[in-house]
Amino acid sequence: MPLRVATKDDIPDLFDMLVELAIFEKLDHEVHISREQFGRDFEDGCFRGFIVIDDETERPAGMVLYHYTYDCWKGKTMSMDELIVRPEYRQKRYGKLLWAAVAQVAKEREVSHIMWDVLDWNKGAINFYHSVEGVFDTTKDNEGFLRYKMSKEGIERFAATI
Amino acid sequence: MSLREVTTDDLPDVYDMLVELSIFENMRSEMTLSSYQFEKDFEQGYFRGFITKLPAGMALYHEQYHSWKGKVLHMSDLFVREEFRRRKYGMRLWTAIAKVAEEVGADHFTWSVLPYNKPALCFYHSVDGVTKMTDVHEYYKLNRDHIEQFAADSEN
Repeated sequence: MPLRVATKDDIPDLFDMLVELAIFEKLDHEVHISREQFGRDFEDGCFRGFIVIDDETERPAGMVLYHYTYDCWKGKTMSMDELIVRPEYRQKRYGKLLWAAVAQVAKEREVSHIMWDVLDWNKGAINFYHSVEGVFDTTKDNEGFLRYKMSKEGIERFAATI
Repeated sequence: MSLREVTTDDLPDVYDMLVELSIFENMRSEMTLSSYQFEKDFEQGYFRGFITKLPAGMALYHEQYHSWKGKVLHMSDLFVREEFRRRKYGMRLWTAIAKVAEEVGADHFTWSVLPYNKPALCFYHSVDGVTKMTDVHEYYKLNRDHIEQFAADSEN
């Protein structure tokens, strides 16, 4: 199984992939955090994640990060961040595997919904997210990010696919 | 005027005020969280808050994370009961949370405000560095440098 829980030893690879995603999004100038601070925040429990190590090359192929948030009208919620699969590893269903892993955690924690952001011009990502039931987009911010959510029912159904 | 951190004993009052806020926003049916779960989540540290005497009002917050920037402090709810408005309770509650943002070393502090809440908008726009993030639901943020400046200024 190529997917596993990210550990502090994965921080260099996670940070590299985070920067790669920011470059793709043409927003790498917005990455202000240092690799060291990112590692410290991970050890403080500010976020968690999963990493995929490709079966054939044994190299990191993708990752996803998440952290908990709170909605005082609904309860625990979860934010999914930095879902990335490196271009050379696409078409291997790693994206769905990473996303479903987050959904599984969300289901176990009984969160009300998962939310994440997608750039409005990222058609590939938008199509990917709409391929799963229970996803809907909500707001758009001033920097071109669409806010997506997956409902509790969507989480249950999707987590069952892992 | 006294303002203090929310404790477990305050939760029934805090929950009541959340219900009042949802009614005020005409969205009572959206509030599906039970008081029981609310209290359990507080005990597990999912959120924190401040409450005024009486209580006239409260504000709740929790930490979030931005992978490119670091810790974010988010104020999820601020409510002052109608009979206590125009007495700066709201401003003081928001300020208390801005100071927590500084203490935890947050990269930025975010919150939302109803578009027709003119007094609140007036106050937020008076704080140096406040920027509006969205045109829907009126999300606002304040970055670290301006948090520090605001916290220092409000000591004087």
